[in-house]
Amino acid sequence: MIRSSIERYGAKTVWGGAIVGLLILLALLAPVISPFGSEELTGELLAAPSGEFPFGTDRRGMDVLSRTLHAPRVDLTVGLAATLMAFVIGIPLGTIAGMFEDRGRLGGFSAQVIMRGMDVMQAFPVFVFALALVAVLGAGPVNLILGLAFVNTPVFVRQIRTGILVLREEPFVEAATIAGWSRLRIAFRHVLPNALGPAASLVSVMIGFSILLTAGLSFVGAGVRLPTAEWGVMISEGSNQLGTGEWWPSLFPGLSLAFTIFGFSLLGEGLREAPSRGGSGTLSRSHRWAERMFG
Amino acid sequence: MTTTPAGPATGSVRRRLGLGRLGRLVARRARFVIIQLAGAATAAFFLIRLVPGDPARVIAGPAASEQVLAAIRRHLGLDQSLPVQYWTYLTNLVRGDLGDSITTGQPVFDDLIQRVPATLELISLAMLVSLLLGIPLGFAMARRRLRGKGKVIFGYAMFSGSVPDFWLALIVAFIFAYTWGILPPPIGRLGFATPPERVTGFLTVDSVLAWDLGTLWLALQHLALPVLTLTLVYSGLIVKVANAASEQAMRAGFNDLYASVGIRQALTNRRLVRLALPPVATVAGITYGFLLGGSVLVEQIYSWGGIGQYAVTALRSADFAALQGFIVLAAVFNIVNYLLVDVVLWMVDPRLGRKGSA
Repeated sequence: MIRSSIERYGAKTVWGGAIVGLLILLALLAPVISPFGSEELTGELLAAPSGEFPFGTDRRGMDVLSRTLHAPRVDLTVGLAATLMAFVIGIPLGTIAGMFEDRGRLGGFSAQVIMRGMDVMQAFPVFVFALALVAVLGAGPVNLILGLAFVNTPVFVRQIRTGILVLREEPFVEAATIAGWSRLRIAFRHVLPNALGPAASLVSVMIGFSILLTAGLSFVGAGVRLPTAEWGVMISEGSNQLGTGEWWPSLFPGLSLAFTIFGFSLLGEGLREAPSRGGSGTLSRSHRWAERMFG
Repeated sequence: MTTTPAGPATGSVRRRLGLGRLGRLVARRARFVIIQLAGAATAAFFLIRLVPGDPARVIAGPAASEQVLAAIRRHLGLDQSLPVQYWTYLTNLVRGDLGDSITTGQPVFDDLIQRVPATLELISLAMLVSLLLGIPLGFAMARRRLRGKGKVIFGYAMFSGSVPDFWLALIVAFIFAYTWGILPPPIGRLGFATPPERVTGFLTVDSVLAWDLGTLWLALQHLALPVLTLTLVYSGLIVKVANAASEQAMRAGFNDLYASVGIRQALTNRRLVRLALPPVATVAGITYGFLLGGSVLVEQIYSWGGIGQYAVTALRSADFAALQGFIVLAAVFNIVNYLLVDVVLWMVDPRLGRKGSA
């Protein structure tokens, strides 16, 4: 079964998908499978990994395994929500910026305004921008999602705009224009669906990236805060014990974090390569129709 | 700004690489740079106004009296209308006045100038090591036909893209400093030693200027772990792009021609590197910006005392003026950085920057 799906979807998609699927499963099952509660004090402070505490306990006596298992409930939710929000905001902006660039006075102006806005946002290094936003909005998961969504938006706007700039030269756009459709309607009904495929593969990569930012911001106290089980918070908590030789409170959450980001990047890479594996699955109906008509 | 590489450089091309052409291109780009700087400054202004509720209340805490709050508002200029505030902000910014930090009590501008060399020394060294490792490695891998080569490069790029920098910083400190004891623990740029007389602020440069090689060795030892961390995390993309660009360059016709007429390999290699340079320069520019962001966390862990650690302190104490100063400086760094990348691209590829391709 694995072999046949690797042949069909590619090894990167399958393994990346498996890691992401496993994570989602663990996040859902965390309260059932973890030996302790995510904020439960076991009374054993800084116990080394053993049969009872496979990942040891931290300096407050919380079980590291249970917290590591609970963490993706926060990290995945924030990463997923922030990325999807950026994607949804990026779609109309990118479509307008691409479709109306150098077309008409109002349209051309809107496209200019959008892209100059993106330039300004991207003038700041990503982590610096996210840090400032969350610092100003205040720590907490909701502000974290809003801040990260804002920071991620330009990436999607650019990706969709680039796709649309290429697609708008296709014969089916000309055909629809001759058929008397408005440019706005052509943009969203016919061109956009064809540009969504490549942008969607970016979603996976950006989820991983957002999770990395979430953990980094939480590490300096700008994201999620103690005692919430979150990988960045856990690494920050455990960092004080490294000097005295207790490595386990910070090692395991970091490994899980790296593994998670790896999974999402791998899946994204696999999805990006998917169209070149043949099959026109991502083309919209109008595009396929035009391909038949105009060859 | 990726382009398909041109043929090998010839004498006439080299003559055209005069400063006049570059100067014109930079002047033309300056317009965009100024617009972008103004946009970034405006964004930084409004960002601080996003503070929910009353910034004075956030700074002073819930127990502050009404007089204290009013004084803070007056001090920050918050009692004036928004356009007036904006105008004051812009004119002050042009004069280098970024307000005062409430944590250090100093002008933010002075604080930043004081700390910038520490950060620049760290990220520039990491950048240099990444390039010195990444370009030859990517090039050498492209020259040889090895089985599974693509997988190794892909794997390294995935590894470096997935490992959190702040976690790796802790882990290397644990291994090299706490367990093996071969490098100093994360306690700043020199530990407890006296720094050399400040000339540039770069400890490596200043210790050489003072001809104090002991301090230079100490500074390098303290730099080793944070630079190792940043290099491991941020060099993946450089290796990957250097490799892809070298492979692309080797498909150029002159490569086979030179080989068939017996031109020395070293000469061919020099031409190939030049062809492969533009994508590598672009990705190096992007990486430099990322390094500044990454240095925030790594500096915090290594008590580096640069602008990254300054920003985290500002964040924790609601020091908005300091935070604003930091992000404005980061934007300036990024914009200048992209301009430098463009200059490199213009120097390498004479076709760029002609009419219609700026």
